[in-house]
Parts: sequence; structure tokens; C-alpha cells
Amino acid sequence: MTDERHGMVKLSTGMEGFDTIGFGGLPKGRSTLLSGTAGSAKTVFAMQFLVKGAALGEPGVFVTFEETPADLRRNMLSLGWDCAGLEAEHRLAFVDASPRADEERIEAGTFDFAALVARIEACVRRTGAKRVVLDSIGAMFAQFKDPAAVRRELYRIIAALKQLDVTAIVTSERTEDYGAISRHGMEEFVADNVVLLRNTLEEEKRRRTIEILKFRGTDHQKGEFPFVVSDEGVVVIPLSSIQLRQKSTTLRIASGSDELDAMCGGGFFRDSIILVSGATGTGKTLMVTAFMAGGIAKGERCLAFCFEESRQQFFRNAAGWGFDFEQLERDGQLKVVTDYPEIMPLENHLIRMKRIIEEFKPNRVAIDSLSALERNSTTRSFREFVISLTAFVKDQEMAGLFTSTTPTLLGGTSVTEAHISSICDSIILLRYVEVYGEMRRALTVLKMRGSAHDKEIREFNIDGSGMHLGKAFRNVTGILAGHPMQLAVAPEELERLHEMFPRE
Amino acid sequence: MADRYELELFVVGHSAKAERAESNLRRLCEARLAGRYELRVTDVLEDAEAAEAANIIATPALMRRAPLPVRVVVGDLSQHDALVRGLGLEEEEKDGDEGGQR
Repeated sequence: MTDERHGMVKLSTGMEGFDTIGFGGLPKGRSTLLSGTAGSAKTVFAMQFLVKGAALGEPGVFVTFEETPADLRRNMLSLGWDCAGLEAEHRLAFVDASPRADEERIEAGTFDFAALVARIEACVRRTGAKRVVLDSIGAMFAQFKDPAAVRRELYRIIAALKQLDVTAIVTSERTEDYGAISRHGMEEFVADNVVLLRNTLEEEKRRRTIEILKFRGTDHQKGEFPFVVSDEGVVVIPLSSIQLRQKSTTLRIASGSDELDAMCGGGFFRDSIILVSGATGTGKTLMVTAFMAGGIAKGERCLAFCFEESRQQFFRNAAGWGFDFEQLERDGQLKVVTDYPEIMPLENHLIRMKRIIEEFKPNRVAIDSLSALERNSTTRSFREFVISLTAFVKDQEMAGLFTSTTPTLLGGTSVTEAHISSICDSIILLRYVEVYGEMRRALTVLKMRGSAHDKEIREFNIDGSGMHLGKAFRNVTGILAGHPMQLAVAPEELERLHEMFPRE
Repeated sequence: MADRYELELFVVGHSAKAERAESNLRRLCEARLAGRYELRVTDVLEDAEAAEAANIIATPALMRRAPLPVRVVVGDLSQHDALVRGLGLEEEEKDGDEGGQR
């Protein structure tokens, strides 16, 4: 990818998400300083850059100043990266500049790093490397006494890399996540391009972010983007970019209830996100079940993520409403994924859910519930999760139905809704209504982007055959506010109320 | 006393620094280790593999391969005391020979 104005070429790193925020990747033929605190995944990021390069036919050289190649090979195996295998195929090579424990080193006069430069050059020529990593230069300051000499010599190495026409990542330690760019003032030497990795503690949760501070002469996305270290390495979650590509359609799909379809003006839109909000027991899981069943009846593939119930519970409930989800899953038309939200950070859930969606390629996806996932995250992480997931779902031309549990039984909104209501295309509220000493359920379509819809608050009933929408509550006000009040009504209206669901 | 010294000096090309290191080293060896040392000079530009195997980063670098333990003295060897310490000759220094080198 070329930036026309500056003639700066980017090298696609092959790393998911990073190329997006880097507008194509890293500046080609240049060195980029990758700085972060201890444990911010610098080495993993750097190694992934080489492993991805090897897969793209671009050999890489890893110059290690800290860990031994043996340690690196072993550590990277846990991410599924077979360094030894790549080395055997001449797609990866190590230059070992790590300190040797059994060797004493004494300084006696002026020195330079010409030997290291010669070794790196020889290794790059031998392998035809296009990518080089220096990890981490801070360790060199521990190995030699004179910091000014080390700084001068590191600069010599970086200048040599430029001559070799390789794209390099130079890692460096920082002492704080928000402070000086790097220890030892290395940014003065590798100042052209700086990427920061952060690993901060927020509301008792770890949050990893990546920020491209600068790419000289070429553009990139600004600000911090969350990333995770999953079993496939670093995955950057680009937030703003994915929203730009969203398509929109007027294609309608069945909600699973004919009455609800009618209320929505003919069904949900295909590339839309529907939020179903309600207190516990108001029928959110039933809405999910109906949504899945409605898709299956039309021959669509359906995927449900359940974070509140076990598979058995979900299947049993469905069976109670007459749907054999177990058989449908065996047939491959349905997939139900159940997990405790707490098993991994929210960012990892996001990556995993995207993977499952990509593999299963559903037409519909449901999440029950977002509130359960919210328990396990910070406010900011959760908002980013919802933005990223909704954009992803829409981009895949799927319909998404997400549920959200309100904390109070009557009325009220949840924090969840505050974050996602503007992102969702449609909002359906399920509420309890107290009428003459009886708890009834109410449903209303609060919002339906791009379509006319029924604005009534309708009675909603659950029985052995599923959900049924009744007539509107005419004589009750304050349902949504959580303070239902019966209005003084004429006797004939009372009659009507009793007739709404005639008991047979 | 009868220790044989096996030394290897790593240099890069024929720089002034490299020549200085070699002459500083030869002078000390002739004065102190005459007849019981072996010195090999390796140019990293000609043999990068050897530098790789010995994990040489900074040059000039003098590696004392024998007697053990292996020691590395980095620099142009102009700091006499550090060089003597690096080669493990401090003990012998005490035995006399004052006013020898420098």
C-alpha cells in the first residue's frame, strides 16, 4: 500500500487489526520503536511480526539481547509458533546477543558494536530476510557500562538496518504506561516511528492497548486500541474503522413470531442489531429461542451464545416450547455456545466469538445476555466490545439479537442499555406490569430504525407453545417508568381488559 | 604457573582500534606469558560464524578460552589494569615484575 502524497510504502505485517490501524502496516524499509512496560507483550508482538512474515514468504531475523534463543523457542511454542521448524526452513534465524551466565566480561578501553552489525548483516544476507527484530535494546544498557557508548552503537545498528532495506521492530522498555516513551532515551534515535503497548489496571481488570504514536511521513489511526494476547498471539481490535464499511438493506427477516413481525412493520431488517431488554423472567431467552427457530424454519443457519444458562437448560426450555434444538444442532443448522463470562477477559470473548461466527457462518446470531458479559468488564471495555461486535455482525450481513437484563423487576434501564441503545437498530422492551394484583408481561417496540412500527404497549404471554402478543394496555400508564397506574376506567373498559386473554 | 593461555582476539576489519588492541595484547603477552600462550586473531567480516558461536557483540574482544573459566575482555585493551585483570594475571603481578609494562 502506498501513501500517494509521501511515497511512503507500508509493509503489511500480516497481523490482524494492526494493519488496519496502521493504514496498511508498518513503514517499509524503516525501523519502528515498539515500547512498553514489562509484560506488555513486546516480545510476542515482535515475534509474531516475523512468524507472519515467514508465512508471507518474507524471512526474518530475530536479534535477541535478553532471552536466549532456546528460551524464546520454548516460550513461543505455547502460541503455536514453531521457531525451530521455521529456522530449519531458513525462514527465521536468531542472532544471539543475550548475556551468557557462565562468562565474565570486562571492559578495557573503547569498543564498538561492529561485530554485532556484521553478524546481523551476514544473517540477513544468508536468509534473504525482509524483517528484523531487535529485542530488547534496554538489555544492552545492562550488559555494558557506558550508556553513551551503547546509545551511539545502537544507533549504528539502526543505521545499518536502513542500508539493508529491511523493515525492523526495535523493542524498548518503559517504566510507566503513561510517561517517558522509553528508558535510556532511545526514541531520540529511532524517532521516525513509535508504537506503544500498554498494560494497565482499570477497575481491577487488566486492559491492553496499542497506540501508534507516530509514523513519520505517513498516516495512521490515532489513539489507543484494545488488543488481546490470545492463543494466536496479538490481535488488535480496531474500533472505528470497521463501522465505515457497514451496508444496510431493506431485506426483512422473520422474528419467530408473526405478531411481533407485524408490530415491527413486517419483521426485523437483515443487517440489523436488535436489543431485547427486560427483567429476569420476562421472556428474553424465549425471544432468543423464537428468533433462532424463526431462522431455522426459513432454512437459515443460527448461532446462539448463552452466558446465563447451561446448554441443557437452554435445550430443555426450547423443548418445552416445542423446538428440538439438540437435533437441529446435530443437523448442523444450529450452534449453541455456552460459557461462563468469567472464564476469560471480555476482549478474548470478542476474539473467540468472532472466530466462531467466521467458522459457522450463521445468518442469525443471538447473545443471551450482554449484561452477563458486562459483569466481567470495565465500562470502557464493554462499550468497545459492543461497538466492535455489532459492527462485525452487520458487516457479515447477519441479524443479531442481543438481550439485556434490567436490574429492577419493574421498569428501569440497565447500564448495558445506556451504552448500546444508540448502536442498536431496534429495541424491544419486555416489562412486568402489575394490574389488579396480577403480574402481567408487556412488550413494546421502542425503536425500529428505518421503518414504521406499532407503538403500542402490548400484553405478552408465554405458554407451552411459545410467545403470544395480546392487545394493548389501554388503561395503564407508567409501565415503562416502572410505576404502572390504573386509570379510572369505565366498566366496559374493565370488561375489555378481562377479555384480552380469555381463559378457555 | 604452568597454565597455558589460549587466546582469541575478535576484530572487525583493519581499523585503528583493532590494530591498537592487537599491539597492546601482544606487548603484554610477550612480557608476561612468553612461551606459554597461543593467540589467534579472527576478523568477524571474514568469519561471522565464529563470532556467532562465541556470541561476540562488541569488538575488539579478547576471549580467554583457557585457562577456564572463559573470560571476555572488550575494548581496545588500552586500559592496562583491566586487561591484566581480564587475563587473570593480577596474582602474578604481585610476585614482582614491578615497573614492567607502563
